Amino acid sequence: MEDSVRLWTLRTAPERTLLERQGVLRTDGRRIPLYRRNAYAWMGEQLARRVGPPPPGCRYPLWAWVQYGGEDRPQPDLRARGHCPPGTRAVRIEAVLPRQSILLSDFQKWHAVLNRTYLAQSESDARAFEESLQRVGVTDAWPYPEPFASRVIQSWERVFELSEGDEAHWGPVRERQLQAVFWELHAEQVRRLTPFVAR
Amino acid sequence: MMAPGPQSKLKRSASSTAAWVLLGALLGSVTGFAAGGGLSYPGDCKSSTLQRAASKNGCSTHSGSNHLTVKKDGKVITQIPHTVKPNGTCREIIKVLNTQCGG
Repeated sequence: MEDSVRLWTLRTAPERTLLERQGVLRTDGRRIPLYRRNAYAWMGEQLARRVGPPPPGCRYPLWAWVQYGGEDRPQPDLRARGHCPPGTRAVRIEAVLPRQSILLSDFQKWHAVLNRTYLAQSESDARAFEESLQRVGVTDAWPYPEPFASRVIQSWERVFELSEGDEAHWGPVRERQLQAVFWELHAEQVRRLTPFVAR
Repeated sequence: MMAPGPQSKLKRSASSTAAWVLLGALLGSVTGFAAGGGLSYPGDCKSSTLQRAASKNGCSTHSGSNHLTVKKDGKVITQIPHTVKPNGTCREIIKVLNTQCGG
């Protein structure tokens, strides 16, 4: 494993200004929609547990791409939609961070946390979970009663399994989309800035 | 050796059909489903197909960073990545869309 990781984070023009003025960028989470707060807080807890505690006053991590389109296309494609609301003036920041300061996860699997669903390793694992719910007449939707709620939450740890899991269920490893979270970005870690207007 | 008569031909044909039906059912149970709605996994794991389904029966879509948020009755029911792949994430999203938006 390399000591540093190249990544790309997409930020609005005001955030770029903040980074240049203060020399560091963090997030206070004020702009995170309510329906995503639990998931983001969960990722923040994982970052604290696996990498280290946040700086004072910081609860939510910053997000970046490490493999936007798999190993062959790591940078986010600025022509794609959805990076920011259409028309937003933004910047793609390329930065290099120490490996020990970031937590990598699988972007597609991350949707199990966002959507609060069971993160199965394989098709047969998904079916086994569904059948276990059906056997006791439990609806397959959050909030699950115990012991299912704990099983679902425990399954989310698989977002950190980057090269594992059934390829038939999760796709080829080299095509997987990888994201990184970290507490802060320092101006001296920035390598390149590419301004763009979001589509 | 005697050539098989019409009855044995029929028997063989019936048993072969049954075998294909069973094989089809087994393959279906391993690779796909379309439970309770119109979308099937993995065949419908395309962004445009999921978006269309997410705009029916009181469901609506809203863009939000790297995901498309699907709401019904003011509540978020699922979030779809902009890049949809035929994987476990799509499988779970299809289940929700089939149940909540009728596929």
